[in-house]
Amino acid sequence: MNASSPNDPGPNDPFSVGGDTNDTDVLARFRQDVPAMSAQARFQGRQRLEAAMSGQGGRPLRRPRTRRVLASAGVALALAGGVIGYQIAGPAGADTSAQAAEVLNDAAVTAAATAHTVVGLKPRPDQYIYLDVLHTTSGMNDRTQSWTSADGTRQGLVRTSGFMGDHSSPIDPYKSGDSLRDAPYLVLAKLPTDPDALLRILYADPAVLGDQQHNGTKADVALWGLLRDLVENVPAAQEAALFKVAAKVPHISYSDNATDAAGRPGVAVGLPDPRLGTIQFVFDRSSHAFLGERILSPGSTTQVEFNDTVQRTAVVDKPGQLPNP
Amino acid sequence: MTTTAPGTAPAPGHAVPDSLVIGASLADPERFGEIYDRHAAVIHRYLARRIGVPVADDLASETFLAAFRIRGRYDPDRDDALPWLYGIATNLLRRHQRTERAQYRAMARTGIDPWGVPDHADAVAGRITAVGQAQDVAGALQHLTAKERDVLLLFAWAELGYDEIAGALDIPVGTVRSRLNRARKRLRAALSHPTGQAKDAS
Repeated sequence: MNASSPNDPGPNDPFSVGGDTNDTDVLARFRQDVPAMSAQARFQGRQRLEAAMSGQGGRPLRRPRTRRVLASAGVALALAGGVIGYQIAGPAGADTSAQAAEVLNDAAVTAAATAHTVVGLKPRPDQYIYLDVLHTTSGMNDRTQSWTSADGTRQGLVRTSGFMGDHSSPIDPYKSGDSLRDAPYLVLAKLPTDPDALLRILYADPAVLGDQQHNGTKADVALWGLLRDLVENVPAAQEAALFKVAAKVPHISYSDNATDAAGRPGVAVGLPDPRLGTIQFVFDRSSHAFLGERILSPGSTTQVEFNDTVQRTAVVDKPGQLPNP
Repeated sequence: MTTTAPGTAPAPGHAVPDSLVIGASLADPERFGEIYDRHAAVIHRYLARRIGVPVADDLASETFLAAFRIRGRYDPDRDDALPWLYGIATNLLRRHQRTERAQYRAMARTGIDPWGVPDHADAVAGRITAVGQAQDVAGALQHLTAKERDVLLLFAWAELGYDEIAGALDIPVGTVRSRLNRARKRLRAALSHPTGQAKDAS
């Protein structure tokens, strides 16, 4: 780091000339063999930080943010492998908003036909929604399986596996008044399917308001983030309404070449979030049915930070129970 | 360390610059865990060199807790968070100034590294590494002011540039330069006029 500093002392530094003992060399060797951080210290430090990050003094999160977990995994993956996933996306610009809106409106129509989302599931209140999400960057995979109480009254389970290691944690019951991004299937099923009515509710969501108040996020960007959280978890009628809401967001962009996490070619509609990058929904090239979502690096139209798609949804009776193949 | 404008290629080795991860952690706190994963070992090493492993274990953890709490003030133009983390770690070390100094003093006198770890084979009577120049270095470090020591060790051990040290400690670059000059003068004096206490040990 010294070498690249614009204020590097350089040859004019009074202490780098003189020819006698090189003081910083001696100092650099001093205690050079200090033991590396132990795995235990590293783990304990991470645990303390996680408690602070969850804001709950160590309590597990009320509900894991599936896609947010994936977001972290993608970044860590890129770091771990020293690789960056490149995929080609078409040009994205403000003038493509009309095209983007068209794709979203098509997606709303085909929402009922998309077999890979939770559409069409008819759980009893005491059952669980099983969601199996594939996340991939540069060919490395991570998988999140979650079992969420259909009516939100029971504790659920989330299990992640893949290159990051295997973890599982509970999903706490849903409290009314919490953000919809934590809401269970049967609560989401009661949302209005009229896009204007739904838009009003989404703009008033605690997650959207909080993002604006605490982070200075623009309302539309905050809304887009909530759409992303909801779109893989809602029944068909609500999914259609969400895409109609998305079509109303200004400055959305269209890319005519996007590949989902399962490798399926498609088109994408996105909105840049200055903190995260462009958040895109990926749709089937011909039917414009929803395939998955991905995030591009900020300022990039080609570099995919992470990419996920739902592989399987089902209704099961218990957390941890796998559906019949 | 380079600072790239938003939208340009990220620094090699980091697919996503720290600044963006920290920015994302404002909305999604758990993303800050990536900052820990990236830098905990390096920050720990710096702390362990200054204060020994047991205290470093605790301070490394506290560094990231403090960083998490103040992440809203992070300068998004700085891609690499390491200088910022070094600054926080250095501030936390101030509480242990007297201990650190006492350790240098003991090492300068006895030649025994008080940070010696028991799982090393040569740890029978403490780790004897402070022979010759190392013992003189310990003596010089002991006599620096805390502020001079911070600047010198951020330069020599954390390998930060002048501007990065200035940013880390929130002091002007000119102050970094003058403190570093004073610290190095003292260090040089100690090395060119050694106490000789440990010469026979080599």
